[in-house]
Formats: sequence, C-alpha cells, structure tokens
Amino acid sequence: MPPHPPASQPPKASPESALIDRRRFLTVSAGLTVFSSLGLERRSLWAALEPAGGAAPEVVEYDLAVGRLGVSFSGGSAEARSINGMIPGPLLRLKEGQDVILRVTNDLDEATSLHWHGLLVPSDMDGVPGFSFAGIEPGETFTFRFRVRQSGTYWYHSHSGGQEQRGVYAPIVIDPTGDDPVEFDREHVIVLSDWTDEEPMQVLRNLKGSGGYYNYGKRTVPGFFRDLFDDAGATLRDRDMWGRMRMDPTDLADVTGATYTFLLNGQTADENWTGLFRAGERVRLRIINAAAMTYFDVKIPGLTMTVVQADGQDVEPVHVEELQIAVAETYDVVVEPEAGKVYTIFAQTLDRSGFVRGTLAEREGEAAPIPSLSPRPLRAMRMAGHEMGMTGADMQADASTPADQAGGHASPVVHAKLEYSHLRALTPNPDVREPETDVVFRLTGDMERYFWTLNDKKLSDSDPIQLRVGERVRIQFVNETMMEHPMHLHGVFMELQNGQDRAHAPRKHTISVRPLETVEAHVTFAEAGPWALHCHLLYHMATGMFARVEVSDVPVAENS
Amino acid sequence: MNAIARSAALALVFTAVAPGDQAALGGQALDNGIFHYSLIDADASRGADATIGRWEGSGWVGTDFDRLWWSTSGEAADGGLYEAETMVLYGHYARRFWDLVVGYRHDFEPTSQGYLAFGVMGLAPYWFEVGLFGFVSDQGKPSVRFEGENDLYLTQRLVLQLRTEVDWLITADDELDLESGSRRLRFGLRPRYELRRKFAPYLDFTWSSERARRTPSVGDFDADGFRLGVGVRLIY
Repeated sequence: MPPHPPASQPPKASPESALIDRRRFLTVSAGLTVFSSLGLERRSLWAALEPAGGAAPEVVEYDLAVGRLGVSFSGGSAEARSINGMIPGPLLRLKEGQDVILRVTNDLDEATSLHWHGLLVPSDMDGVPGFSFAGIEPGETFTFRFRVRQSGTYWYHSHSGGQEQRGVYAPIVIDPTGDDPVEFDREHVIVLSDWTDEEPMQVLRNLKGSGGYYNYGKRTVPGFFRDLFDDAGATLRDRDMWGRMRMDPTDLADVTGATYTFLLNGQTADENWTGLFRAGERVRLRIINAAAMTYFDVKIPGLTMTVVQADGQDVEPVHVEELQIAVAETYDVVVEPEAGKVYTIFAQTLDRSGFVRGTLAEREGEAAPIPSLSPRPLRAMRMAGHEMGMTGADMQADASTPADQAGGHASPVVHAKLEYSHLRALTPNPDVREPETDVVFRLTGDMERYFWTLNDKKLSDSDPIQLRVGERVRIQFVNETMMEHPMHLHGVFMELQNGQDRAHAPRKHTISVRPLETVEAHVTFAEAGPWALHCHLLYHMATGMFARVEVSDVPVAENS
Repeated sequence: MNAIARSAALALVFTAVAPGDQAALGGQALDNGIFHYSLIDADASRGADATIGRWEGSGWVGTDFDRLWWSTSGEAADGGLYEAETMVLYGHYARRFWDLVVGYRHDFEPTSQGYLAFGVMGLAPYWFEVGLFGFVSDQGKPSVRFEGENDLYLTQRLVLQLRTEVDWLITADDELDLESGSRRLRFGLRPRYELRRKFAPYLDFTWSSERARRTPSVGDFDADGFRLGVGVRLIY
C-alpha cells in the first residue's frame, strides 16, 4: 500500500486557544507514539491525528469534547459550538477492522450527542438521542465503542438541536485493510458547511413567520411582464400552476446566503483554504457536505474530476466537470493538477446565493480566478432538465459505457455534471433478492407554516416502521414537495436503484430526492434496533421530517 | 361574556398542553414546539384638520397546529380614539393553508361592544392571504367581515401590498346606530420597502367608505375617501 502523504487541511483557527486544544485533543492508547509534529505546524494538524504508521493497532481511543468557541466567520463575533475547539472538529483517521473507543465529553450546558454518519455500528452506538441513547448531559462523558467494518470517507456530527449548524461536525477517513482501489499520491479532506451568526432557533423562528424569509430571489412583477413579452401563454400557464399550488419556484433553499457564510474546512472564501500538490501527483479530494441546509455545486475549472467514491463506498470511476453534493453526502474525486498551475475549488450554492472557494496550488499564498456564479435555476427548468437526464436511452448509454479504469484510456466519457445514474458500485452487493417488503415514504410538508413531514406526519405523531433483520426491503421516497430532500437512513446502506443492475446499485447513506421525483432503494438490515430515517436538512428534520424504523432481530420466517 | 369565558378556557387549555419553546429544536421527538410571531403596521396621515394615526397589529403564539391568534386595529386623532378593536382567537390547522378560528372580539370605540367571533383564515390560491369572519355582538347582532391581502414584489425589497376589507352588518345595530348593510369598505395599496424583513417603512393609499350613522352628530369623524399615510412595519 502506498504511503499516504500527510493530509493537509488546516482547521479553522479562530481563537488563539484552539491550537492548545488541538494539541490536547488526542490521546493514543496501546503504546502508540504521538507524532512529534503535533500542533506546531498548522498544516499538519489533521494529519497528526492519524495513528502512527506500521501495523494498525487493535484498539484506538480518542477523546472528544463538545464545547463553545468564539468565531468571526462573518466579520462579526459569534459563539459557535465545536469539537475539541475546532470547526470542523478533528479528523478521525481510522482503519478498517480497528476497535474504536470514543470518549465524548459534554462541555456545554445543554445535552449533546455525536453521530457517526454512514458508519455501520450497533444501534446503541449510533449517537441519536431518543433512539440510540439518552444523549450526553452537561458535564458527562459517554463512551462509544465499535468495530470499524468499512472503509471510505464519512463524517460525524451532533444529532442534538441546532448544534450541527453551529459547528459540531468533523470528517472521518477510514483506510481499507487491503489495497485501496483508488490510486492516489496525496489527499485532502474538503469539508463544506454553512454558518450563520443567528442562533438556529432564531432561524427557525424566522422561517415559521415566513417561509420565504431568506429568499431574495423571488419572482417580481417586472419579471412577470418580461416573461409575458417572451411567451404570454407559457407565462400565464406557469404562473397559474404555481399560484394555484401556492408554491414558489424560486424557493431553491430555505436558508440562503442572506444569512449564511459558506465555509471550506472552516475557512471563508476570503481566507482561501489551500491544498498543496506536487507536479505529477494524483490528488484525492474527499469532499464532505456538512452544511445544515446548503447543497453545493462543486467544480475545479481546468480539472476534470474523477469520482471514485460516493458516501464512502467505492464506485466505478466517473469523469465529471461538476458535481452537486447534497447535504450530508460525501464524494471522493481524483484530480491530476498540472505543474505550475493554480486551481480554484469552487463550491457555489444550489440557489446561487453564495459560494466558497479554496485553492489547489504547489505553494501557499496562491490564488486562481474565481468563476462568477452560474445563473440561478428555476424549479420548473431544473425538473425538466432532470427528467431529460433520466430518460432511458441516456441512462442506458451511460450504463453501458465501460467506465474507464484508473490507468486512464484515451478520451474517456466526461460528463458535464454528475447524475445519480452514473454511479455504479465497484464491488457487487451481496444481496440482490427481490424485495419482499415495501415501505413508502411520501415526502411532505407545508412551506407556508414551515413544517415538514413524512407521509403527512411529524415524528411525534407517527408510528414506527417495523422491519426485521435480514428482511429485503424496498424503500420508495415519493417527493410531493418542491424542494430537494437528502434522505438519510441510519444503520444500513441504501442500494440506490438508479438503472444499474442490482448487484451494482450504488450504496448510499444519504439519497437526495428531487422535487416531485420518486426514488427507490433496497436495503437489508443486518443490525437490530431503533434506527432513524430523516431529511438531513436541519430545519426539516427539526420540524418533524423524521421517522423511527424499528428493526427486530427475530429472523425472517422461511416462508415469508 | 360567554365568548370571553370560552376563549379564556381555550387559552388556558392551550397553554397547559404546550411544551416549552426551547424544546422545539432540542430533540427529534419535540418537533411541535411553541413559536410566536407579531407584526405591527403603524402610520400617520393628514386629515382635514388633524393628524390621524392608524395601527394594525396581528400575531400568534403556539405550535404549527394550535395557535392563539390576536389582532388589534384602530384610529386616533387629536389625542382621542375614534376606533379601536382587538380580537383573540384560538385557531386550529384544519387542513393545509387553512385555520379554523373561534374567539372573542372587543370594540372599545366607537362603542364598547363584545362579540363572539369565528371564521376561517388562510392562504387562498394565487397567494391571497384571506380571512372570513362571522361575529355576533353581545346584543345578538350578527355581522360578517372579509379581509384579503396580496404581496406583489416589485423588486426583492420593494413590495406592493394590495389590501381589502369589507364589514357587513346583517341586521341593523342600535349600539352602532347603523342600518344593516355595508358598514365599511376599504381598498388599499401599501408599498413598503423592506430595509430588513422585520423593518419596513411604507406608504398607505386607502380608499374607504364608511356608512354614516342614522343620527349624525357634529363631532363625527369623516373617514370616507382617499387617505395617504406614512408608516412603518415592525415584525418580531
């Protein structure tokens, strides 16, 4: 296995004291030596959290503390929540097969929790208050223990209240036991997020008062007349449809750049996080969307990105110029930057109300031009475009094109933008049975009153879904709203039925369901317990778009 | 008085069953917390021989499904109140976009009178905020009211609000000294500039027609015709 050069993601260094906290954060058991570089060099901090080289230890232990942190992302000062005094929190660098002990201490005056997003762990180690455990009370320490059963890029975050919005999120990178199917010489973790100086409760209060509170891209009367002039019939039909539905085609994001500052590894666009490369290197970018509410469209002008992993699971390489990353998703891409060049990593929000950028360069202090924001899409156009992208012929063409292998053949297919239909699992799924049970989640809600539901019910009004270990289940998400919903199921990977054969359906922990779209996924739970299923948009989850899935360990009867 | 007792009882029940505000984001199971919203429009206009002040306020406190709604409106000039009314309503989210409400309305001016109030409020197709209310005064006199508003965005911050209000007496009202029929008709244009969502100065152009009393008196305030007001909207 090629040695991984140190990842170089400087965490947000808002408070001077954070450096001290970072140094203190790690305790390594089993006689591991602590890297001597710890804390001295900002760029090496995350790398320093990697356990020492050589054979992976049987057990690794980490101490994590959720606490307060003063920040000034927006220019003003505000109080954030953090893990070990960092935003994002410390990278957990793990290895498949390890036993992990994570002691999480609550330094806040409210309950907290940490959820290992995408990790297959026992239900009581999943970190969801009210599901897995009671949460961690102020001053208390909860010890999570589990064996790492997978590899890839994941993340962890608070599952309590608005803490995730306020900074309690961090990356997880798990190295495989065998050879990594992805060839790369250097890697960088890219954590995207959204920050507001407003308290999350205030944001929700504003939305309850008016669902369009943060939307400064509404349709206007002059726009109506312009559209009438272009095509009177279509304009009237369009306005009539939206008016009757009482929905807003410009509502691309409930919370926007009107209050958000967007961050890349805890740094603003102005701070310009920089990842280094050397000429000729293949650079792996592990992109994580840790935002509370924001979808990003990510591109690196001048570089084609080769998508090699989605939600931590290896996929056959797909070459794209741009990808959209839904809230809570991760994508690993490989890029091959050229000597002497500087590149901008450009992440603009779906609603074009803002962006964040970082830089790939051979040395610090460089910057490439920042692209201008793309035109703001409208719902109807987006939907139409998506339907076209999902037509059978197009999908077949994509699916039947042999994905070019890591070595690189001449003129591989390069997609302008990644679609779910491009994703194909690299290793086959073990269970390809026809599902025996159907579960339908209609994604519902009321944008005016601002609450969101599943099958028209809030979590507190709904009955749990009853499933069994080993049961083959077909989940259908039927989106009846005009918003994207990144649906996250805990405890199992969802095999996304995207037109690939069942054995190669990509495994996802988070599936973004577009407006009025129906998406199907197959799952087989291996682990009993109560599991959470919810929309990962924080204010959708908080207002009720959440369900309880109870998986019993009574095996599926032979005759069922 | 019956109505007061009823709305008071509803308010009490309502308060007792509702969880705390802080709980709403505090955990997954507490997705039905209490929120609140208040809006006040206050403006002044130049009358024939006095400055006339008007206010309208409304708001709610409660969960997504059960709320206590309140409203107040009135008109003052020369330090005296010409018109003042308040309503307190319990509202239940009956179906998407619509609340059924019941409660109590009290008019302080021009005459002090209480009403049982009931109705439906919500968002009609094409984004019209509407309310249709029925009232029965404490003298047993029935009346109805329709209110409608629509916001037209001229720019992202300059918003033209269209407003209408129709008050209709089903029978003659001796307390008000009015015959049956239209008591008040109002049509208004209210452009506002949202410096912030919660702070917006506005202009108020209203045409109104008020039914004259059966026995006019010298001091009657003439509210008929056009009015130009300058005011400010505050949201909390």
